[in-house]
Amino acid sequence: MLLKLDSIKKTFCPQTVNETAVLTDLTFYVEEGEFISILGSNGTGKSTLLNLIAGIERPDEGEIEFCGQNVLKQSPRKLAADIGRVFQDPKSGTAENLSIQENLAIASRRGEKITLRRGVSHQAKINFRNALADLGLGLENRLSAPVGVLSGGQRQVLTLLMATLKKPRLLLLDEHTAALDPATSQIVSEMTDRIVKQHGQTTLMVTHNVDAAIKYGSRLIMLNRGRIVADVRGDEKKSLCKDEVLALYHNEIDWE
Amino acid sequence: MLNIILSSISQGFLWAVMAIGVYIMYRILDIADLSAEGTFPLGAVVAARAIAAGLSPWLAIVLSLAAGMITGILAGFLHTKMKIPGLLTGILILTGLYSINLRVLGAPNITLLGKETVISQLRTIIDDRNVAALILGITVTLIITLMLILFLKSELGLALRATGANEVMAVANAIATDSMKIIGYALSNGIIALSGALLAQNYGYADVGMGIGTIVIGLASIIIGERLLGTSSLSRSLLAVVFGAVIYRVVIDAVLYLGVNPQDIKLYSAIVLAIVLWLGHRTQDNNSRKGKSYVAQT
Repeated sequence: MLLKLDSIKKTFCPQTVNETAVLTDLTFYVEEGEFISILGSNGTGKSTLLNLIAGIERPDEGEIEFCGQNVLKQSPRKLAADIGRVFQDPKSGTAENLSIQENLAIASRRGEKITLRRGVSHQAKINFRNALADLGLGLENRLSAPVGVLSGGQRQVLTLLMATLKKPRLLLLDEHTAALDPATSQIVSEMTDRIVKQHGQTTLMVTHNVDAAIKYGSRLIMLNRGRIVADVRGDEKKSLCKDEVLALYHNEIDWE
Repeated sequence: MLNIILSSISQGFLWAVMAIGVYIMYRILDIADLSAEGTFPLGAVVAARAIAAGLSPWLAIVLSLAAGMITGILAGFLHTKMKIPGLLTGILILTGLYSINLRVLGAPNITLLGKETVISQLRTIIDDRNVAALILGITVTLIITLMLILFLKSELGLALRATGANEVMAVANAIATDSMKIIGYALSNGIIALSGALLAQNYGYADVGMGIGTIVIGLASIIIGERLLGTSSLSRSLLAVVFGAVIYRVVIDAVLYLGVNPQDIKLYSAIVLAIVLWLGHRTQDNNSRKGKSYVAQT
């Protein structure tokens, strides 16, 4: 078992008028190699969930275990050595004053000791050029361009490459296509699927897009009001259609 | 006249060293650090006191650099580990340093008249005082700029720049952001103190009040340079800071030459910076380019 979340509770601004219970009682386990889409509407605690796993936020109650270690006892920096992240905002995952190759160089040293050696070595440039050429966006010829001049979609693809460069134990995608236009969103989603399948990368992909959640991933978890309302995997996941998902979702709403 | 211009340019290069230190905090780490107001005179008084005590003027510079770096580490600790906002950290450091600078100096000011300084040593080979100062200024600025560029392109330097550019990205890439900030504080304040040590030797005295307005000079140099030379690459940005520092010094000396009372000079430097900032924002608005606001930073 790669990741275990046990009875997680998280409330923002407790004991104030703004009190919001984001996660009420969340339990689920992630196996190595799973590609899980986590579906839920806004405010259902999807992003919070990823921040808890990455150690950026702490739960009020519950246990999180990653690679057999208690996440609550580790710093976000230590966890980042084994966790790749792509964020909703394309600006979040890259440093815009730095060039493409400098951003990749930082990602390629993730979790390793950093020294006073040259940041972007000759060999690294060749490796980056090859890795970028695989993506087919023409970025391989713009290695020394500052990331700030790239489009949102290009930055997201670059972030995705950076997040997976060191083959992390876990990849966290936080609505990483939500800020892109539909066509670019489609390209980034396809690229994500390809990279994840290529490396058998264990992935948690948060989304509010029902179609994407159905299309991608080997397992689908639906969140509502801070807990899991559906958890579909295997053949059941493969044959899942949109109406079923929407029905599940609406049943849940009516039920409340 | 030529002598005045030469003296102005040589001083500009010595001030450029300080401006590079300010650049590290403001542009690379994106922290509005005012420590320079305390570490610049710290460098001056440490060097002056060391020289007065009979130490080599070069050793005096090394001691100033060390004193500045130690102060920087302390400032970095206040900011990262004690979670004090950047602006307040600077105010605490510059206030505390005022007393320390007084203690180091033992008097409000001391003169280096008749003592051996790097300038007096250089004058044994170069006759002209201003040429000696100019050569010293250009050499030191060049060495520091080159070393800084090499550092900023190293693995550690990339991590430091990423921390300043995007902390979310830095943490996601397992960079120890607190350590990077402390390193930045130490580098910046070390370089600023070194500049203080050079200028004290150039002026031939050190005064506890000589730090007032350091930040204004530093920021004006950065912004003037960036406007004139642009920021298309790291090397160009640093070159721009040096260029801006020289231009700024020439402008201020021109104002003095026109007959302005020297005691009003801080007022004029503040006015110059205000105008430069205003012009900068106007062009930014016109071109809708991305710029950093100094006003909103804490």
